[in-house]
Amino acid sequence: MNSLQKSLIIINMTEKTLNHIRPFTDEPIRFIGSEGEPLFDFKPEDLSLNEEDLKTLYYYMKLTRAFDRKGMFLTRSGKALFYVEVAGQEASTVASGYAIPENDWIFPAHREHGVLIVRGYPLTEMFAQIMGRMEVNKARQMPVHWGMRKLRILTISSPVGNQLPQAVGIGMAINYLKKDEAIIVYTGDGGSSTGDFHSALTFASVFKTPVIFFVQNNHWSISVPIKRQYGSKNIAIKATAYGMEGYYIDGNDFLAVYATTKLAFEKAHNKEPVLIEALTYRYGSHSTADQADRYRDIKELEYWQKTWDPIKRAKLYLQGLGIWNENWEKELDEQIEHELNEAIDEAEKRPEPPPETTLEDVYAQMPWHIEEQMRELLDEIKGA
Amino acid sequence: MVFKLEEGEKAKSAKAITIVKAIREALAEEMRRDSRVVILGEDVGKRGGVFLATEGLIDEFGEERVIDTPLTELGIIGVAVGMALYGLRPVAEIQFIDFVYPGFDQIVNEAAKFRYRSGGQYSVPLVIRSPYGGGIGGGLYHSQSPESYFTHTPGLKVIIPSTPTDAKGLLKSAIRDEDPVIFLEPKKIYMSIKEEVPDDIDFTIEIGKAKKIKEGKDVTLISYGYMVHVCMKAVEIAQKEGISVELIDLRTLLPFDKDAILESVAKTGRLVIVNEAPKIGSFASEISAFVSERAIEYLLAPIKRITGFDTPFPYAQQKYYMPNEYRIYKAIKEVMEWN
Repeated sequence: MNSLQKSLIIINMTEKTLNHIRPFTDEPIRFIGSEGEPLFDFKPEDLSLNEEDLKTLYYYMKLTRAFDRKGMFLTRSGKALFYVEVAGQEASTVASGYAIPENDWIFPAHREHGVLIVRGYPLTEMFAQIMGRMEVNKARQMPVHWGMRKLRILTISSPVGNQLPQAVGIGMAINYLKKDEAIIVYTGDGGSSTGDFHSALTFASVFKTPVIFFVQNNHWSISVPIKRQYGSKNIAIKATAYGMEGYYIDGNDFLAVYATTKLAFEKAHNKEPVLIEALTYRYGSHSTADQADRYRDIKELEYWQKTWDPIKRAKLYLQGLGIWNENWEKELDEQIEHELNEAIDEAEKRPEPPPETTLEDVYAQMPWHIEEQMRELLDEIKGA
Repeated sequence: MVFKLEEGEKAKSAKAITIVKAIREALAEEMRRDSRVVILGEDVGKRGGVFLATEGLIDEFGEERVIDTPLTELGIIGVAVGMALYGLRPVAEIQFIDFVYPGFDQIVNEAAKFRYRSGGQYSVPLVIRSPYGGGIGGGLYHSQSPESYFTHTPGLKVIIPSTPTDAKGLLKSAIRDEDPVIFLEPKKIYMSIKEEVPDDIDFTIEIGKAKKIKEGKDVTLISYGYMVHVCMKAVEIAQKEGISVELIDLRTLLPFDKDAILESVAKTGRLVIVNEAPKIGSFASEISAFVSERAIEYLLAPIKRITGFDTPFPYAQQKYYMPNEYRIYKAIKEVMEWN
């Protein structure tokens, strides 16, 4: 009995699919080509996906891209002070998010909007956070620093990579308490250079924790290209040094992302930590505080947009299956526009966090010195 | 003298234990009480820690709860943060606090800020305990007193005990606390001070309360950790010279006991603060600033800080570096004679 058969079977993919997902391949694992054409003889059912799943994935990818446009618009119109674009990485985030079992944990980094949207993070909450309105984290952090405990999404911070060992600690706690749960933790190509990455993979392999390390390799860490992040042939190969499996996948192929992440969860639930490197491309700048044209050749961007765009490829694949048409696309666009506008309107109606929230939640119980500062702040506001 | 613990009556009892033993008892009692408490660090398992603070715990609680880790402080603390986020009560040992810096980001940006940044959705009930301070010939990297890095970080609590009883009672409170606690243990006196310590499972000492070691009327002397014991010697010298010194052991630095400090200074009108750490930005400086803001009307003399030098901690020159009773006494005399 192999390890896959032992588990609770959270996946139901056929041998054909599983045989296609091999660790440490030289080329990225791909199910569909740049024109959405199947690269070998498989059907959606081989990935345990039905027509409804495919349409849902497509909807979420389009929603994520449209969300991005709204995020940029809110920043340009002064309603938000900052935004981080996810455009180009819709398959990587949405399809991995779609593969995460309901009870498992998510520790995102700063470019995982699609993962959160798929998990059901309310759009109003996301926009409220961006606009500094009252939301579940009380709007203390810069835009796109989301997190929601009831959805088992950890609240992210800004330093790159330091969530990785924490995810492993969650994995160790899951093991200690003998829970049948796992956690997926995201980072980028830059994050793979950190000491946190090394410590996390070391701990994960030594203690056999149910953790999936999902690296979105989008080619750029602000202005630094990937040739300055690693001298190895890719990032996935690094897993071999930790005694783990590393999967090098086409992050703009929603089927490859979905199937590999599903398989990784199967392994994680069997206490085999996994590293996934999803090769993708950041269309925008690092953030609204950056200008990619200062350091990046526009031709590179155009090549990725033209050849490997994840939404275009998904559309062509659905078209090939006969489940896409212009009318549906139009309906989707209208529905998404409506959903997003409604969420933004709702978010704008939210109040700003009250002044007390400046000083609350530092400790479980407020110590005397913060109480004093609270009185000073409230007096100042009263006096003003 | 009643305040000289190492020679006190309690120390003669067969039941008297050292600070290291008191810490071990605190850990064992809390682990028996609460299955969520786990220990992790380098050499904490079979070796029992390089100072034996965790000796024997692996035999009682197994390697699932007394976890020898890979050699990475950043990993130890990062992983411990994750365990705490999930609901465990990890106690991470950093072998010497001098080695904590690779994990500094995990403490300052993560453990300390998780509650705040998540709007109270998540918390990190984590204890990081570590030997600190000089006096054992440890040179630059086995002697440091970096408490001010942590007292400067909102979201952390910082505790430094000076006796076996305080070490035990405060460590138990730290493990039960809902927030991350930096628990620094004065290794110079790990084994040299003994006293009888309560063994009631629910014996704890409240975080944030100072302890008056000796009543006095002329000068307030504030310290913590090993320096409390050096201060005791200075108090004795002063007493022989007819100066009555009130000695306060802070025990908790963050949040510190403002009332104990202000009441004493209001009574004596003179203040000397002692810590081993370098002077600039030291916790002594914080207490000095606090008293200057709140109680200057009571002061009869300038506040004095007796601290380590603003240098790295040296090996062969340790005896010059560490504040001693004569330096402290000199400061006491200066504030008495100031006019």
